[in-house]
Amino acid sequence: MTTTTDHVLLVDDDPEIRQLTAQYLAQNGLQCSTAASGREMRQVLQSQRVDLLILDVMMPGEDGLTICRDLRAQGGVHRALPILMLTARTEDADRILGLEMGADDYLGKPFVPRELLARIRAILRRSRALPSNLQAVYSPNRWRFSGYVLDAVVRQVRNPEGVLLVLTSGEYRLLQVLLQHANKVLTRDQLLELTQGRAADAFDRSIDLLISRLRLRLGEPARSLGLIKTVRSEGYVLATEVLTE
Amino acid sequence: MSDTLTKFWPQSLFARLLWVWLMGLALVLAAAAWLALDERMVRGQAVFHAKVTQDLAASADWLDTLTPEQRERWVDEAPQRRVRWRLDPPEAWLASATPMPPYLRTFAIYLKEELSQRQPQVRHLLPDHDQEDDEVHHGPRSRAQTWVSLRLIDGTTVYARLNARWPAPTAMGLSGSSSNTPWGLVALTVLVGLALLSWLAVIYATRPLKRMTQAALDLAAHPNRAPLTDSGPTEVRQAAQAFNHMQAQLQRHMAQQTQVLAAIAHDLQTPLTRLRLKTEWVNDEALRQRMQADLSEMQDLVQDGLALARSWHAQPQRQAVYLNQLLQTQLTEWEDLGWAVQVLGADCDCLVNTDVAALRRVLSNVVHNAITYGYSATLTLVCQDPDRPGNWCIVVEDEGPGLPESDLQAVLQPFVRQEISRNRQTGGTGLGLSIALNLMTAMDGSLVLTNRVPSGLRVTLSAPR
Repeated sequence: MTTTTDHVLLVDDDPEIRQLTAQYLAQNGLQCSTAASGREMRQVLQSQRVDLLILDVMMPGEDGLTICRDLRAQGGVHRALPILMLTARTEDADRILGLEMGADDYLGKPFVPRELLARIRAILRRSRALPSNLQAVYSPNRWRFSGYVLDAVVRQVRNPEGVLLVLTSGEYRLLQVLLQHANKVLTRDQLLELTQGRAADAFDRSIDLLISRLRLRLGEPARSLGLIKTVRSEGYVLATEVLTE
Repeated sequence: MSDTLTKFWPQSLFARLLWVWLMGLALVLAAAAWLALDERMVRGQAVFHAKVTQDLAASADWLDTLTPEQRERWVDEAPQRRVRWRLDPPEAWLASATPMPPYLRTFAIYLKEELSQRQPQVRHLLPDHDQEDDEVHHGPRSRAQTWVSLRLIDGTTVYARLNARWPAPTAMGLSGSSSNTPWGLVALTVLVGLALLSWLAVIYATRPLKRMTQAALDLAAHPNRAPLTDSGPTEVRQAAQAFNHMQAQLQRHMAQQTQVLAAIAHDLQTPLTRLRLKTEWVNDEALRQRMQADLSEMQDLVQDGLALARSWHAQPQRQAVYLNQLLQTQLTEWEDLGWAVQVLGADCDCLVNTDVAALRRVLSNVVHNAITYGYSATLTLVCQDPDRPGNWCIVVEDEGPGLPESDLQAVLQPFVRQEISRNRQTGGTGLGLSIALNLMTAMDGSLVLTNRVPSGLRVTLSAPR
């Protein structure tokens, strides 16, 4: 399905997993390099073009989270490089969710190889389909808008009264995308790409459904402020001042 | 207890009990001795009354035989140590008499009975001014004097002043009026005293035990409950310290157990991931799928086992959240999974303080169970639990066959599944309800299973708002 072979770099400390994964991805039409540590990874990044990075979180020495933060740091050459994190499923849910910060996607270990492949393809599609101004950017830890707070570290949203708002992961992701592109109109296609990594078909109403659910969850005062506006025949925009920390 | 009292209050339970017993016994014995002494007093008084009466009767008999002149001479000459006789009334006799003390009243009654034909009258009088005698005065009683009038055979009245020292009066109202020995009362005093003492001693001995029992019960329910306070007598303090030590050890063991489980779960990930990848090279499609199903099962077991171990000593992280909003979000997720779930009572805002992550896990386990065995789930939110004030309550009901009454408790135990077949295809790991129960308990809440009529299972979740 890919015209030019995409280059995936896998960073994992287990030799057998590196070898097996690379073999599996190669079988499915991807070029896959491997690195056993952050140091090896940087060597590869310096010498070759890489389209996607797969990072194992649990590594001795420099762990995946540190590497991810490092790459995403402002001004880094690879700050827009798509990253897929491999996290331990036995970790506490909060921690897993916190790890997502800065990464484009995450997958629990042990993963189903087929799912890994699907996620890789989705991220690659997304990064190629989007205009460069909508590409992955470094995510702040906290966003403030109209009294609401989105804390990306613990993945929680609070209303102006400080009450926790419980969102589904889809709703949370949509809100995060709207915040990242605040005061910019996003089309349904762009929103689908950014939230789910897939293209919309002609009659896809799932974004509209998701938007109405998100409006419901945010409740007051978002409703009366018209926080999330519908732009006729264009898409949606989150219209408010957004402060980041 | 005030500071001065605390100073004399012994520190050890042993000394406290000893103190209570000794002081109490001393009090009881004193009361008994006093009662016995009082009885002796009453006896002594009776003897004294009889003697005085005899004296008076003898003198009166003698005066009967004398002429008035002889009487006057006798009155002047007769020895006056105990009784002083007069032929004319003392000045105060006709004036108002001072009220008689009880011991005199007793005497008056006795005298009237014994010498009724002489119409005796007893009066308690203030002393005449002309009387300047060298009487020995006896305490407060000596201010007033005791006079008795007797009628002689010829109709004249003579007066006698009693100088004798009266036996000390007792406070007992029954003194003198009853000569029955109150041994029953003595026994009763001792008995009541001893009972009171025993009661006090038992209270002292058992109160710390009760506290300890409650602490042990609390520990069973909440392994992280704050330890006992270091107060009370020495033995109790030592017991509390031992108890706290035991709790710390228990927590350490549990933490170790969890660590072992976590380490196993973590280290299993790498071989499981390798196996997963290796199955991709198995050409037999059916075999590969079976192998992958086995691997998933292993992974679920590892994960749920770890979640269970963590739930044993979960520390709730409470946050303000609208329960109705949480339920609606959960409902969206369940609907996305294609589950037949219905939420009732979520129209009004229900603001509570709870551990959102734990509660979501509980709800998802319970609803998953309802869907698996009961085909559908209906959740009803009750913001103010009518049975437990201050609690919220969520009732999850399904349309399944329910459970035999005997299994309602058993299924809350780890690895017990309501299906006898232990078929993992539908059974899951069997840890879901145990994890849910532990998490609810950690939130000071409860999870109760009941059967619905005519059929179906009802899970009632409740926790403080």
